Amino acid sequence: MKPARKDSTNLILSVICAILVTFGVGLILSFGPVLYQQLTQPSFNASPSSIVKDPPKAVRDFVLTNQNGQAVRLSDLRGKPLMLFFGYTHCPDVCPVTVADFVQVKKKLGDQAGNVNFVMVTVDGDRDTPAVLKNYMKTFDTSFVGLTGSTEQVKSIAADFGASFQKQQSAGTEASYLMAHTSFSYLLDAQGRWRLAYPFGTATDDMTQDLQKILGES
Amino acid sequence: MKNLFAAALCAALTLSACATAPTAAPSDAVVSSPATAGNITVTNAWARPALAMKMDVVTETAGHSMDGPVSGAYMIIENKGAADKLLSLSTSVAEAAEIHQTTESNGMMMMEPMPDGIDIPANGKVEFKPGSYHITLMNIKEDLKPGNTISLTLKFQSGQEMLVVVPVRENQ
Repeated sequence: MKPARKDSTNLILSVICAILVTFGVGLILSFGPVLYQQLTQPSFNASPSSIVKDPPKAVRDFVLTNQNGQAVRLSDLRGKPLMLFFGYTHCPDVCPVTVADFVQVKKKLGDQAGNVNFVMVTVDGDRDTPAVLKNYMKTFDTSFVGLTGSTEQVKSIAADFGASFQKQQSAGTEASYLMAHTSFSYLLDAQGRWRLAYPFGTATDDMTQDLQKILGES
Repeated sequence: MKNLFAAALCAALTLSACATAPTAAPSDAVVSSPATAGNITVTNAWARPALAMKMDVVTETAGHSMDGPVSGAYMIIENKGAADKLLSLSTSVAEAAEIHQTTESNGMMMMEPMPDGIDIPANGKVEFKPGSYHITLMNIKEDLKPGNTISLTLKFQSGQEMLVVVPVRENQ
């Protein structure tokens, strides 16, 4: 039969246990909240208005036609972050605001302006031919990329972003039709991953701030 | 102490007034003079830039040809008298000028045409502004560039007709 542990050994063991428990509790109390935050919050410290895509979503490659009539793949635009939205040129009120916002963001990027692409994908391929897109971009920035394709193609691309659009017939207008469309802007990083989304009207300072952070990642 | 308090209150009021003061128009903007006809006064008119295109380059769909470049125009219409209605607009720089309203439904932005016109309430005003009521100029016939001005003719139900000089401003 083993000899019973001495009282002094018991005492030492108890003290060691107590110390370990206290230490453990201390660790949990000190680092628990921070760890919890890291695990539950998005890892990208984004601007307040943005919607963070966590984890980043690799966007399916697609090919559309730009305002110069050239085939452009989304993967061709890799290497630079890009801002993208779905709009159309016969939109007199909402889309010009988004494109103007992109112009502002580009200005605010200063000497980093050339490191970001700005893209409009038209939801109105029937009317927005490359020539029409080219004419449209002249009032904003000719370095911006206008992309057009068939309605089916663009619907599929838009769906990847949770965006949608629809033609609307209306007797009250001389226009052939009107378009209903969602109005978010999307930020993709240089690897072509969707990182952030912005509701229409998001402050250009916020988008600029996020872009600067994304640029800092490479 | 009372004087100090009064001075501080004045300062606070002045500062808050400055904070809520409307932001200045862009320095390159031409501000249109108010146009008045009868009880109606139009102020703060402006139009977006747009470039005309040769119409043969524009796709025709469904037999319509009103598919050329568009511009949006905005203004504030104030009415000092009895209720009236803006029925229609016309301009030499576009083939059509329609009253539209931007609306949002389930996250989708839409444009509602207002072919019957828009009420201008008695002793009230209507603001055409981005995201709300706007004038859509269709089939732009000549380039609208910031710094240019265009003329819009407004027709009201009361019989009032007025010409408004509308400067073209950078998109905002």
